Amino acid sequence: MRLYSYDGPSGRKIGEIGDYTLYSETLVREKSVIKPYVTKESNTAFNFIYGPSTGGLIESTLFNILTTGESIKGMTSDPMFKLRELKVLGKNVKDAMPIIERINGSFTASHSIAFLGAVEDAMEIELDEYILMGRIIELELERIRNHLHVIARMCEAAAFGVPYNNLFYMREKINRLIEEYSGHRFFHNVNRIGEIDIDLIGVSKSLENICNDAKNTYDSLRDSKIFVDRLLDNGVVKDLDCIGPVARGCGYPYDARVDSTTLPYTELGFSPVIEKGKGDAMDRFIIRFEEIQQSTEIIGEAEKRLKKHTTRPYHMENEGEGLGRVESPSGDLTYLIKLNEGKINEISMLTPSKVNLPVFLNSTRGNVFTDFHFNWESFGIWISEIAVGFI
Amino acid sequence: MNQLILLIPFAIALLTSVVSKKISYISLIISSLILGVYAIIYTGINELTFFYLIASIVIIVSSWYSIRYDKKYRWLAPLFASAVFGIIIILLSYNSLQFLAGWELMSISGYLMIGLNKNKANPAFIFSAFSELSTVLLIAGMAYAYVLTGTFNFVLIPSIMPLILMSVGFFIKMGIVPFMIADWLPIAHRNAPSNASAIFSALMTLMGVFGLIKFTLLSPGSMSLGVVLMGIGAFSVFFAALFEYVSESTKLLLGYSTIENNGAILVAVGLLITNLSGIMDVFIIYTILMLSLAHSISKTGLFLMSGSLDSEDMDTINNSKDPTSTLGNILVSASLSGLLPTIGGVAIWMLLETLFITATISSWIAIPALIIGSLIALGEGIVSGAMIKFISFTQLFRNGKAKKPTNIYPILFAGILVFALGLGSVLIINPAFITGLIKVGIPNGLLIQSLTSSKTTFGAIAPIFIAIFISIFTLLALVFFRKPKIRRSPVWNNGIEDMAGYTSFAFANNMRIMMGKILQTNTDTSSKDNATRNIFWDLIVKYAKLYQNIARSLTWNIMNSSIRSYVSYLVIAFIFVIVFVTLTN
Amino acid sequence: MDFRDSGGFYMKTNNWFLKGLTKLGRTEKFPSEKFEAKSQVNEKVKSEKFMPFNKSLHLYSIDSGACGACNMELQAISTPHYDMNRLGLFFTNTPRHADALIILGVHSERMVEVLEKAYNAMPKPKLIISLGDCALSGGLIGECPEISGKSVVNIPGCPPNPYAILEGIIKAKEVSSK
Repeated sequence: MRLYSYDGPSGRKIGEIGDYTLYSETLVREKSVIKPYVTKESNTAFNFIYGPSTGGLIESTLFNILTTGESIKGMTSDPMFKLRELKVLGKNVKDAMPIIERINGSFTASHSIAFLGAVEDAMEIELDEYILMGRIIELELERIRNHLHVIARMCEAAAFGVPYNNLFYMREKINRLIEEYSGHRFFHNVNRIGEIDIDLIGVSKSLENICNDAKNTYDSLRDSKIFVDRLLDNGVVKDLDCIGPVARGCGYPYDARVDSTTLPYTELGFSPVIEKGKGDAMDRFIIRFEEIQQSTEIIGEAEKRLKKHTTRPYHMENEGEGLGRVESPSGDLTYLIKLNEGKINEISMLTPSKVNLPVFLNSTRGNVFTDFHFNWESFGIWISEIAVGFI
Repeated sequence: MNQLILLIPFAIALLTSVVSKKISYISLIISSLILGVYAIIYTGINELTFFYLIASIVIIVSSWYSIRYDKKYRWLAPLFASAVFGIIIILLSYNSLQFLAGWELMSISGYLMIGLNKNKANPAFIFSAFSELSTVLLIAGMAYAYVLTGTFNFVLIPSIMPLILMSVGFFIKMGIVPFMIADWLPIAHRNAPSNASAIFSALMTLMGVFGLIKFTLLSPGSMSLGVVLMGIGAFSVFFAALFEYVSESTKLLLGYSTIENNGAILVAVGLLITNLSGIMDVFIIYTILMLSLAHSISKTGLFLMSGSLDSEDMDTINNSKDPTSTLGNILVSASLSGLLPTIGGVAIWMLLETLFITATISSWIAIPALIIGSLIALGEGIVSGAMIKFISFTQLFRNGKAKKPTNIYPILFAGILVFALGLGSVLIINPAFITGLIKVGIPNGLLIQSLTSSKTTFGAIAPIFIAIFISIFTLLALVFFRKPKIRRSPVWNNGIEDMAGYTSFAFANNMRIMMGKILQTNTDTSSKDNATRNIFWDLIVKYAKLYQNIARSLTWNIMNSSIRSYVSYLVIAFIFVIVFVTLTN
Repeated sequence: MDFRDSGGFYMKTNNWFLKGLTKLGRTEKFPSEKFEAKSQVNEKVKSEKFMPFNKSLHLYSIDSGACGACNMELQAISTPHYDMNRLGLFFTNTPRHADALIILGVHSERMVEVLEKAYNAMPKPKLIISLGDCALSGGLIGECPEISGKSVVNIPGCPPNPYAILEGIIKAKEVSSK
């Protein structure tokens, strides 16, 4: 590992990865203690089961809500219903890549780039600027798409038809844009070791319209009192252990784009957007829209620096340990792998959904039932990257 | 014939209880049968004889239940028998002294029964303290009556004052607000055994009613005292009904139900004291008798039911379903909810009739009568909800895997009895109120009517016809529409086994929200409990503390082995009594 | 006048209904000239049952172990570009109201029971549509989900394009109405 070492805690705490806890500068051999969510036994409250299969959730997961009728006294979740065991151990990187791409469809680029980052770290490969900028553009496109998706889902929870359809219309446009430039709507088969199979020149121009439309929708939604009312004071996050837009909504400048130097975001003049509010769903909503604007700017900057790509033969080590970190749309995404004769020997993963799920569960306390969906969607948690194991 | 002879079999039961529990309970049943037969034969002479019948039914049912129930306690059977003995003395007494002797025997046995659970001394102590307070008030009232009449025998008393003193004493036993501490507290503290609870709730409170009526009939009428009693009664009905609805424990719910029923009886007694007119008074007496009958039997049944379940917390009952106890429970609960054709329905109908007849009288009493009638109707509505909650969570919703509730036949008996008594109420009620309506096909002798004067009918019901109509229409529906087609399909619970539960707490949430101001519901979503603040309980704690403080300060100031202060206390008390007697004469 | 990108008009009004009106006509024609139908009809199931869904078809989807891409693409068919409602297709929130069960993702132990319960909860006639390579064969990840019924139409793709999904569902509807 070129950038990380096993050491005492240094920097901000991110979360558990394998047997270690990842801090923004070091890996510490300790179990990350996730505060167990204790609900007091009382005969006054009863359980309300939501999930695993219901129309309101995109993915299969179970929520066990402790309630006295309307207000939520506590909540536990069981996300392991759709547990998938992925066969990647013992495979070489090229064969494992398609499986990694299918861990989370929405974050395909993030997962593949983080994984490749770890592999390239282990193989000690130096990348040229074209690949780095290309990967940044991929990540930012994915971020825009995901944020549009999340906000559209929040509008859907409010049965707010016009902005909902408008936002999904934009999301579809982004999907088609991605397809146009990369050949696949979900970045499948785009990223390889030391390579990128995507021609991104002209992306920022195509984004302009979408960005304007998003800005208009954002302004109108902020003017809509009934919508804003559903988000204010809903799901206030008090935990320091959160990451991604959730943390930035609480005023913490936690962003892997700043403290992971594998991708040169800082050279593009990037600094994280933060919202110094209460840390409720409204703050997360604002953060996501502002990040859409920011991502558009980043893509513009990155596109300027795209130069002609020249594939050159890399020196590849067959053995080694590597760690790759990117900022996925929902927060820090990290892979830690060990390669042995070019094959994956050990692999562990830190996903933002896994870190933020307990934070979500804690934030629901004191809400009422109707707040649930706004809060849940505002976290942007994907069960598919929680309910996953490597064999 | 001196009716005190009837005491002999009860005395035998009391004596045998030391030797064998079973024989004692069986002899109690036999003695009660004798008492019951006596009551049936001599009911015509005096309406109060009817209380003998009520008492004998309650004793029969609870003794029957006790035969299988009483295994844990060594001294329960003797105490049970002595409490019953005391109660019978009260019923059969010829004069105040006998009455008081019975009262004390009943109270002390009750105190000891609560004390059987040795782990908590406090409830028994408080029970005893309030019983003594009740006895003191009764002694004061009876002594005053003696001063006025010169005899301890039950003769007409020329003043209302003794009744006022005694009625407070009877309130304490009836558990009227704010004195529900007497029978309610031990139940709430789960100290009393189930059969003792039935005796407390059904019989001891019945003795309060009995005494109150006995002395009301001997006292002159008083419009203001009557209205005050009616007001207290209506208040008890409404508030007890509310708290009954939000109670989570079976015994607590039934305890509140007792307060609510005694409140209804007190309203009727209040009306009786206002002494309106001849025909009304007779109807009111029968109203009281019906209310007492309905309450005593139903309450005995339900307390025994709660003793048969494996938990007092409605959410944790784990007994499996059992059709026999369900049937008994539904009938008994229907009676307590005031639903026809059970006896409870007849009683509540009679009570509302008396109130609404009073409301038609051109006097200022019409207004309180109307308000109180509405309050009672409202309270009874809430009680129906509470009873549905009780049946649902003790019987219908149960899918527990544990054993069936045991010892259920006394409960079934109580259920059938309230139903049969409802149908047979035309035989019990004074023939002046029984008529028929040939035009609509109701033969003479099947219709109960309420009269505003000896000629004018106000309202009428025919319980038998209600039963017949319900059965006919059910049968017709069955014949025409056949057995309802039922398609059973597994519950879709988001794709998993049913994990969710619906608690009795959730059942009562509607009332918690609607009556939030009265129940002081805490709706703060961030707090841990969304519970109701129990203002009754707060009041009781306050009383208990006050009582403790007074007792302590009395001990400190008087019983401090200082002869001087003790003597001065005696002198002050003596002067006080003399002044009181002089002033009131 | 092209309303679609006329930011001016859009900004002036706060009436969401008017805003919605400015967005009229975004749904596209089915690109049949560009699009090659890939969905496979299970002939055996087709011949077994007569399932009359002439007008509308209500869909309930269950994620048995998908990566989220199929979920998003399935959800996309309700968005303005595709607008499933004009074709008489609707999503329901419970299998009790559903005509067709759409299965996404690979086999996972604990979802077997859920799938089976959902299929049993559906009223007859009912049909199953397998969406995506995972549900079809297990794809790269695992095995295909187990369920007592057989799927009428398989929609391949990883993930299938929303047009492919629409085409597959319509085919399932047509197959059943013959």
